[in-house]
Amino acid sequence: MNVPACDLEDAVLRAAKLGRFTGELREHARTCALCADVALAASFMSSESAATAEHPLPDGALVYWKSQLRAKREAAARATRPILLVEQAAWACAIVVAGAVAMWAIPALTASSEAVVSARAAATSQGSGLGVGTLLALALLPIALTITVIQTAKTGN
Amino acid sequence: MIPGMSVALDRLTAREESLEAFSMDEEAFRGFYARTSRPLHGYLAHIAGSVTLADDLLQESYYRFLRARRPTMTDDQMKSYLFKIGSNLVRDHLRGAKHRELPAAEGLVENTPGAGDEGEAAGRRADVARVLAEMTPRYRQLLWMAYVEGASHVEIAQVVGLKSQSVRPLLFRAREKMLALLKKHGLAPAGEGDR
Repeated sequence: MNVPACDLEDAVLRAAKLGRFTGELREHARTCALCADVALAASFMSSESAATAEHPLPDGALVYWKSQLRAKREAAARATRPILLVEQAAWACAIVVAGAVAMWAIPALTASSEAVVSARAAATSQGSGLGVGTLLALALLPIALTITVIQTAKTGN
Repeated sequence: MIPGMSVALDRLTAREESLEAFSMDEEAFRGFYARTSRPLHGYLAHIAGSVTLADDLLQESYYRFLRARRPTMTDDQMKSYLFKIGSNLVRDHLRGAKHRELPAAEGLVENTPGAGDEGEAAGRRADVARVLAEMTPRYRQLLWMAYVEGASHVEIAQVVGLKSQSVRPLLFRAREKMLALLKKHGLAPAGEGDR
């Protein structure tokens, strides 16, 4: 693209920004199409720059302080990132282990409950043996044992 | 927080400590900020199209500037570098917002103190802001850097991310576009834009 150029373009731009045209430059800007455009553009842009001139800005000390605070926070986050990763990995492992234990325990529990049911049926058919209360007690026994262990542990601490 | 975490915080390595350090002490920064914050804010507000957004980008620009590992620079080079950071932030924001043509005039006029005045100056600013809103952010960048900051083509190229040879033709096109829009809106003085 062939862009027109003028040697006085920079001088016209400076004059337009400052609003200080010498007689010679003013005359040149009247006759040179390029410089006239530059002067007009500079004049409009300068007026536009005033649009935000009164907008309140934060103090430099505040900006510096905020930046320092953020830098420290980010440094702390960087330092603790490996620990968080390890923590997350530990949780993942715990979930996998719990799943494996559950897969092993569920069939065993099912088998034992079936054994209890069949024993009760046999006892009922014989007219003596385990009653409903006994079965309930058997079911609640593990819970009672767990609570006892927890209480003992707490007292121990 | 797990117990080991506090220990890790206490044991920030020398590397982390050095990452925390800024490239400028507070006193030097305050001087630099006093010289550059107003121009940078104006630039960001007009390119991003919002004074509120410019407030956020201003803080972010200075933060990145302080954190940057940069070679020894003159004051003007530091200012160009800061403007480049700001330009990149605006560009990222525009990409994220997925709208390159921002309603700059509305954002600026509404957020500018005194813009609601009946004064001729406020009206003229609103008109010019509307004209700028119809231009691409790239053209706004070029016009701002050239005619408000008075930056050289080399400096503009650094800030905007162009080859310095590309600045002149692009700036010419941006100026032509702006003058055509001013004429369209009846804002150009009689005889202007007829060429």
